[in-house]
Amino acid sequence: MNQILSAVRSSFRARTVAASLLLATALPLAAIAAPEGELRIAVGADATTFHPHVNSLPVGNTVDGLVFQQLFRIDADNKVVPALATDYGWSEDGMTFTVSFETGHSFTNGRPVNAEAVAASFNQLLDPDSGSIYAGLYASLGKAEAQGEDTVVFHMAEPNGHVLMLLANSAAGIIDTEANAEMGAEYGRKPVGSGPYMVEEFIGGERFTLVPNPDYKGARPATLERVTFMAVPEDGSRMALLETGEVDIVDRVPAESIPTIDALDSASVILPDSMFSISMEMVLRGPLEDKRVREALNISIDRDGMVQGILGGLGTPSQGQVGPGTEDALRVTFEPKPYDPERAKALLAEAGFGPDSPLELRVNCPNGRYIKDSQVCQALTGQWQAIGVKATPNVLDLPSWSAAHQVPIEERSYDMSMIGRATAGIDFTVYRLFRSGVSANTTGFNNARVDSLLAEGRATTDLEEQKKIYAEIQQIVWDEMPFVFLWYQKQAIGIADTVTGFTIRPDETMLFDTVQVSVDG
Amino acid sequence: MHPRLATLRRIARAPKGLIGLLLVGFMMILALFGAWLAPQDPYAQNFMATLQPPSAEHWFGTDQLGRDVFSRILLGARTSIGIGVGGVAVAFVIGVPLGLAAAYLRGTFDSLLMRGVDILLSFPDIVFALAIVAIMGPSTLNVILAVGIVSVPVFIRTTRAVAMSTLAEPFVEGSVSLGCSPLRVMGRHVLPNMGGILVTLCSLLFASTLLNASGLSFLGLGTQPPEPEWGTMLGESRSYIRTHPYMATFPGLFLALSALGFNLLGEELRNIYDPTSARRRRGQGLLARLLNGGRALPVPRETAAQARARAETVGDAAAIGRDLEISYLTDKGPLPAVRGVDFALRRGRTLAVVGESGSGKSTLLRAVATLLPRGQALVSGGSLRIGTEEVSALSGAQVQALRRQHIGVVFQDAASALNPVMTVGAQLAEAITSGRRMSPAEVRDRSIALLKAVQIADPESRLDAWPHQFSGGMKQRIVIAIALAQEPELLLADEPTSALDVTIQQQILTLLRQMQKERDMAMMLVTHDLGLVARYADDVAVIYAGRIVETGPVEEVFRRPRHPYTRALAASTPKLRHGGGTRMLPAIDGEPPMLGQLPPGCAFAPRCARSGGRAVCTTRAPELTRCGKADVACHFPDETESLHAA
Amino acid sequence: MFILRRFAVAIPTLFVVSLLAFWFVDLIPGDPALHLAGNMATEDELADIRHHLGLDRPPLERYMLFLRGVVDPEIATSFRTSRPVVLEITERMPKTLIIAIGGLVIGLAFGVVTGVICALRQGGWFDAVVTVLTLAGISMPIYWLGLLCIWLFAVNLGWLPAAGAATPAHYVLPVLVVATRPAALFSRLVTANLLEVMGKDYLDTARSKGLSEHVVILRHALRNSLIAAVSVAGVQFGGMLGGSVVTETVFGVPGLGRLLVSAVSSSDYPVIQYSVLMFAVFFVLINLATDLLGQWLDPRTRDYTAA
Ligand code: SF4
Repeated sequence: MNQILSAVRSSFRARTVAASLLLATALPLAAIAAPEGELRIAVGADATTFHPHVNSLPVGNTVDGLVFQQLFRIDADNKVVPALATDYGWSEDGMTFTVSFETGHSFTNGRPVNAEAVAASFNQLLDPDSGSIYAGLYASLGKAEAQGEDTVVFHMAEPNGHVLMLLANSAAGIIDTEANAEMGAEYGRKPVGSGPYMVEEFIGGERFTLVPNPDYKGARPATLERVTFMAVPEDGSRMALLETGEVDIVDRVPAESIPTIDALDSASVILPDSMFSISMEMVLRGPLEDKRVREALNISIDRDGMVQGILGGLGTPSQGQVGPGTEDALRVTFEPKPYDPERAKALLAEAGFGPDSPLELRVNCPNGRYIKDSQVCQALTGQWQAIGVKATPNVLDLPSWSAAHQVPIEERSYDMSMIGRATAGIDFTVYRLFRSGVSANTTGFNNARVDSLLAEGRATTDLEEQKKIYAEIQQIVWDEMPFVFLWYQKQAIGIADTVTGFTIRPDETMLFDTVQVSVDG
Repeated sequence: MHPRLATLRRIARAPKGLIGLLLVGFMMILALFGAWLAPQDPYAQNFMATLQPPSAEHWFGTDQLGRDVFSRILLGARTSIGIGVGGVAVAFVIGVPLGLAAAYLRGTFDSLLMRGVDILLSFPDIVFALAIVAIMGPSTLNVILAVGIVSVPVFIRTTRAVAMSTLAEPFVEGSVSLGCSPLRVMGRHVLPNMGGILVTLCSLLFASTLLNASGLSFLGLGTQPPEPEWGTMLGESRSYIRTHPYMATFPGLFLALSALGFNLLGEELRNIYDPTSARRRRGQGLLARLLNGGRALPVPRETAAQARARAETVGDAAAIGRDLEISYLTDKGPLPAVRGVDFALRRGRTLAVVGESGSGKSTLLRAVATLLPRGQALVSGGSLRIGTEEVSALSGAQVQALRRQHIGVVFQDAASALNPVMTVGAQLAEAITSGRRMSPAEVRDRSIALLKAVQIADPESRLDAWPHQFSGGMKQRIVIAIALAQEPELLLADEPTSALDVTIQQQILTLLRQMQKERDMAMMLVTHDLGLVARYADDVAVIYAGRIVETGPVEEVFRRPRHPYTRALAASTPKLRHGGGTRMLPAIDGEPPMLGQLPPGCAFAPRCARSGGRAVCTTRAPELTRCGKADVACHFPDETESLHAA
Repeated sequence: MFILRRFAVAIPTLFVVSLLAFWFVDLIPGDPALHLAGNMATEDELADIRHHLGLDRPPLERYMLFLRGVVDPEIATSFRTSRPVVLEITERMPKTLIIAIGGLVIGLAFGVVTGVICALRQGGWFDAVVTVLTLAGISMPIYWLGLLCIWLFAVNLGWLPAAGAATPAHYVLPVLVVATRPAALFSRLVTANLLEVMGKDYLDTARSKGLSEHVVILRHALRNSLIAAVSVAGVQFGGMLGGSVVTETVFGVPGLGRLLVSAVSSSDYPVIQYSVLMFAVFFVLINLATDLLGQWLDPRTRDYTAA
């Protein structure tokens, strides 16, 4: 997969027109089929806004991917591929990044998607005062500047070898800043974009519908006449919608409903990977500063048993902190941690803990944030109790659980907390979780080697270099075990048999590029 | 018996109450001892045995972590019942003192508190509970606090309302003005009066508290795992509703049963403490009647007096009762309140029925009015004829026609005899048009004429007024107008003036007498006020313990009272003044007998000064026999007490 | 006049509610910025977002802004969607009202009818059946009933849609489920009150007029027994608005309850604050309506309040 991406890169660097040709030929082929059929989807989360600079939900990502065009995008195979971009390159000093892109596209209000519009879109994304929640994440892009009609230049604030990943995320969708200014917050509901679909109707909390953008001329034309999303938070009710045939797709099928849906004549459940990596993030102080203790905790839990018994199969034991699909080019995997309670007991004894002086652990878990979280909490503490650790589960409501992480390390009221991490990009993930002093680093992990590797990884734009660097970081984290690594979640999507061509990425973004709904179903 | 035990016995006697009591008792036992009864460790997980159906090993099956549901239910009883009881206790402890204080202090404190209650109610329950739980962290204790605080306004409002009305009672006002300390007033007078209501409220709120808590669990804010609690267990099981339906069954069942138990208990308590809602179960009464068989219904036998009454009452009688027996249906079977009474109401004459309260005089009047409370009392013997009809033979519609055309009733308390939510005109019109068709104009004319007849000034404008806008005397006039609406032959007045003051009393009685004469009606005037009898009646019947002990023309009975009871009444009514100096029946030593506890022989014997312990008085009941112009029921009608006293 | 005075009295209440609603959100743990930016955000990013939301301003200034927002919807915008809160609320209010009012009306109708029959047939089989049903109605958590109804009527029988709010048919199940509580409550309340009223003399007056028992009950007893029921209905309605969250979650109806709960869980302060304030205004209005209705039913209270 890595090779493919690098091949794409080099071909771009050579300014070949192969990709453009490919796009040009793909276009008439796809345009032959007129969009037909309606796809109805019930999702568990309420969509709040589609504004790419504010949205943080997978549903929003899905819609943004359909409504907006981007310079780069992540495809169904989870690779970064060019979308509008035709060519890009770095300056010598790595402080200027130039992208040329395909012109001739326009927003649904008729404004052209030109260099000026693209630059304006990025500059708004980079401006925290606009309400953009990603201003910080993208800050290294510095400032965007239009050059001619078809080129945008980023004057970097700092070198960043991970720019493509940033540009491929849905936050980098190209918005019409003028329409945004006119519409204000309504832009979040009926965004003006240039993608294959546009939002026809949005009824807050209830449903929204997408219809084809008649003026779209790109490579991914709409295949459906209409896509309707309904928000139904209660699992049982959402499943009932699929059973009664009121919708074609439901997300977040609870494990216990999988057999019911598979037993239906008209629908079945698919279990794609999710990048959500669930771990118990430790507070590295006192006994937990001892690596033997951390290892004991890591090898004393029966991950496979819990995945089958509690999660109903909706998980894969962790093979590294970083979840699948995060950035496959840089991700490395390891042997899962073994289940060896005897060795765990020995390690604990070695560290000075025994029946007379047991290790005490306060284990925080959210209630209703991750698959079966509170039950996992009870199971985990049960297994630690079995090796003589006095572990107490502390299941918290979401606000309290989240607030507990905000307290300075010394004042934390818990010893480990269940947290799921899902982020686009290896650098982003490991930098924020394992760089010393970064606030998302809840463990207090502080490793000089990791810190310096992180700096190097950003500075280089060479993929091979990056691979080496990030592999080492991931290795260190896996060995040091600041977390009790649990598993990667799996998604469970119920799909009616009438739907074909549906894919969903590990970041839970749905792709409709090739979806068809057969009418007779 | 201790009063509390008595309450318990009363609850247990009603089937619903018994079930409630048993359920609540059962749940309490679970709550107290469930933890020790659990056969397995309620926390022990077993991933090999998750989601199993009920079996010999796991009576209620296992849950998603393979824990024994039966053991979890047993252990969960403590938390679940604890939340219900605790929540109510929190509401009680906060709400009741505040409500009492508001009722006692009134003024600023009261209005501030009520504003506070408004504010409390303005926050949706769930948000309030959420805030409490979020601020203090989710735990069972905080859930108790949250659901408790949500119920506080109910307690404040109820306590305040009941306390205010109790404080307004004359006897309490008295002790307040005597300078009793507030705590003493509350403890002595107010709290005992509201105990029943509060107990009822508590048990009814218990169920809703439990459900509120389970709603919190639904939102993930209830008791936190792994602690077992029925509401949380039910909430957790909802995702298994389709695949493993039995998982929800047991927590749901226990939750519902405990709610049911407390509800049933609360209802029964309300029936006991709130006499107005207490209804004797008709089924039981009937059953008891069947069991008692004919014993309760004495075979009518004609006495000399009856024969004479029959001979006398021909043609002009508007109502005749013969050997009439009227019984109340009680748990112990029918109890006769009126026994073997003969009377005749003749047109143009007024019969006054005089007796102490509980003597059966009002029951008699209600029977004649055909208004005995259904399912509680009935004519159990003898015959009652109104006009030419034997009442017991009439169908419902015929009874209604009879009431319409032949009977007018004037009740004791005019204030409660008028429907507070209908205008006077509407109530009058109802009486006028009942059973016939009339144009609105005719109805109006007739209404005005009736109001004029009962001497209400400016009747045109009063038709649209509400009852509460009239004084007591005026209300009674309106009641009389309603009674007269269809020109009845029979006017029945049940202590028509006892709720009025003296001057008004006379006006009303004069009016009644005047109407009776003018319209040539037969009137029955029930009263305990002997003073009224002489002036406003033609005949008098003195009634004691359900029997007429002396009857005859007024002049005769008052000039020569022969029955010792009549004599005692007359003697203690000074000069039988027409001015009504004394309105109450004089005190006679002793108490009248209770219903169903009649002494053998003469019912008056225990209080009789004349009897002197003669055996016949306590063995054989005296029958009405003619003495002069009156009839007297005494074995020694011509003696006087002084003779024996000397 | 009366109405105006009632509003004047309500203003201090609403003022206190606004203060409480304002500071109460600060007590709930959770950081709006964190919710927006996610758990990977850095301190600097969070600080920027807090600044953008105005959370770094002094409390008094924020409170003043909050009050201004009552009249100027442009200031009062949701943290999550940036749209005026008033838009968010008005978009969802009708759905909540349909369910709450529909449930109340059906519950009231059912409760009154069964209540009357039970009162007239105390101890009969109808009374027994209704008692069991109403107690079940009171004792059953609403989400359970909802899920069972979906399972029976939508999945098994296919008569009604399972969830959503697109067509009137979608509202049938939620309204019926919501109606169970008031139906049970009113049934018991009407029975109890009717039994109490049945002992009153004016019913005997009515009977002595020769009216049929039906007329006596319907015209004289029922109206009096409804007076108490109406005041309970008011409180109940308020409770139903608050309790709408569970039903709305189960049936996927986007109403105020769900708006509020999702606002609480994502620390969307303005939505929480204005929703609570609106609930308070609702409560004042409901109280007023209850009182007016009570006065219409019971003329005795009219002179009280006029005096
Ligand atoms: S019968 Fe005997 S007891 Fe009865 S009243 Fe006459 S004297 Fe007194």
